[in-house]
Amino acid sequence: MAFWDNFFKKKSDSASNAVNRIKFVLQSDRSGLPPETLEKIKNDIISVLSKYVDIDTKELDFNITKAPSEGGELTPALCANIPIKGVKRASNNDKVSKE
Amino acid sequence: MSSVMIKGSKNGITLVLSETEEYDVLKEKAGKKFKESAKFLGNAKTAISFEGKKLTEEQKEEMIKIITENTELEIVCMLDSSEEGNAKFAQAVEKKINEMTAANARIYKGNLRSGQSLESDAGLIVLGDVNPGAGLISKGNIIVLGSLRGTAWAGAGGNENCFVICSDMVPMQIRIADIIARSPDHKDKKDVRDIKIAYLEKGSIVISPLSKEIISGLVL
Amino acid sequence: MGEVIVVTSGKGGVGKTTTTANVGTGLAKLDKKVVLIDTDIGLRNLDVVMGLENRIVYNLVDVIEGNCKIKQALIKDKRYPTLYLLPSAQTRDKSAVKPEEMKQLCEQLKPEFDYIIIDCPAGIEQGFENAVAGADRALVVTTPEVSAVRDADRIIGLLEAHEMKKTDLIVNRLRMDMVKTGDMMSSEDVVEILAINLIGIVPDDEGIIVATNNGEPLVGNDTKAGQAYMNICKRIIGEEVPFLDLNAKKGFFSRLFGRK
Repeated sequence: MAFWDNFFKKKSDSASNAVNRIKFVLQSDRSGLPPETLEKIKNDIISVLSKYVDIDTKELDFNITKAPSEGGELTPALCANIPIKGVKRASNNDKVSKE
Repeated sequence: MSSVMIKGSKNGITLVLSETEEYDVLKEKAGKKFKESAKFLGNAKTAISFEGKKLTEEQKEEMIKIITENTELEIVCMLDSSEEGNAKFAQAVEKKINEMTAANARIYKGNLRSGQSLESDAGLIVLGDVNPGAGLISKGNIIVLGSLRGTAWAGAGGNENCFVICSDMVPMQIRIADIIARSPDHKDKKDVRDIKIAYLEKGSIVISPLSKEIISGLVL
Repeated sequence: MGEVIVVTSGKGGVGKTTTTANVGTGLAKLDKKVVLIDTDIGLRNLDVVMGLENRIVYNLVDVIEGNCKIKQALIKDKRYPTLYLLPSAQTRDKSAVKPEEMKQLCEQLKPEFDYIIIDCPAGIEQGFENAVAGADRALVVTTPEVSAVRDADRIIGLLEAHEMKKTDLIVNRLRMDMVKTGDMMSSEDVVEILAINLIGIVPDDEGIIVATNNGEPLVGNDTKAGQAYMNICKRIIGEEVPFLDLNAKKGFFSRLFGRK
């Protein structure tokens, strides 16, 4: 049985789970922000942006990484890549740049 | 405050003499004092040191004579009251005590695990195992009723007559006085479990089964 | 002047001591003069992995406290004439040594040895501070597991804070069969997450357990792990060595009959 199991075994996904989980954990470790806070910031930003533009929430990338500051030291920085599907009509003055 | 005082310490007796009194007066008072305390002082062999008034060598001799005439004490040596003298005396006393403590022992029940060590100024008897990473240090002998897998140091004060006996001798290291032996790198699997003794012979550590001949040859 | 290398990981049980023993022995095999220092005070292990546990008379704390000279505490390896071990103390704790003292010790050893390799205890407390104090470069050991990678990331951050000149990564206990089925992070995954230079990948190997049983590091022998460790040593001394092909299939017959 073991032989056939091996033969037809569906490729498991636990390694990519591990990669995603560790990336998520490290984001909060590196920034010192608890994951819930990060999630709240993300939701707040989305809700603000949503007033003016349509956002592709599936392709959203929201990270805290370390970026060199002016002094050359690595400090946490928020990097967000938020694809915009379209501009809402109501927003005429505000411009949201797409990164 | 009396002008003549007798103090006893582990370093022997100390005669404290007032600096303001004349020597002849002190001599007379000391004679009286020793006569009074003769019974209390007993007939020990002891050392003497002087404090207070500076005495010449002749005067010191004379004082010792007074002591021996008035008491049963035997003055074996005269000590400086200085630090150096005390240290020397303490050393001599300790050496003597080391020899004596080989026969007395502290008894410990239980297993000793890695990182634990047991030290004793006297001998050491362990009822239990001594695991690798655990150590025994004794100024006297060491007896382990159990497996000795760690290290044991008998005669830590320098006594080369000390020995280590255990019911299962598989130590990492054995040390007797200043000699160290370590276990062989490849253990002999055929080696039978037996009560063994480790002792010093001609400057190296010998391990052998505990026979009647060896027991009768032990110096305690 | 010698180079001081600290082997560290944050998490325990990922193979710091095994790595220290194998890298040290490997460098000695490459004719370098090497001293291994165990800084895990109270939980020493490097001595047993090296098979030198029965020769310890003096230890690191004795040296620091001046109870003996450095030379008296150094244990010469039984197999390699240029390899030495400075064992840790078992009956003391981490507070017995201060980072400044470790730094001085490393400086004293530098003129005498080509490489001074420090086995760091797990954790990020005083023991870690002691181990990294005198180090010129670091080897961070991790396994392809979420917990180990997370701790490695923390350690890398701390090493950066200590201004470590060079920090390299060793991915230990990799199982290619599991990577292939998607059940283990690959070394590429780990390197991408941690973003530091990879200096070696060591496959999971039963030989490591056998080697530890015997107290003889397996570096340089014909096992995959033995070769992987030797490659790490060569990269440390500056040679360019391609990474092992861990996918290499064994022949049908060797799979049927072979033990390795």
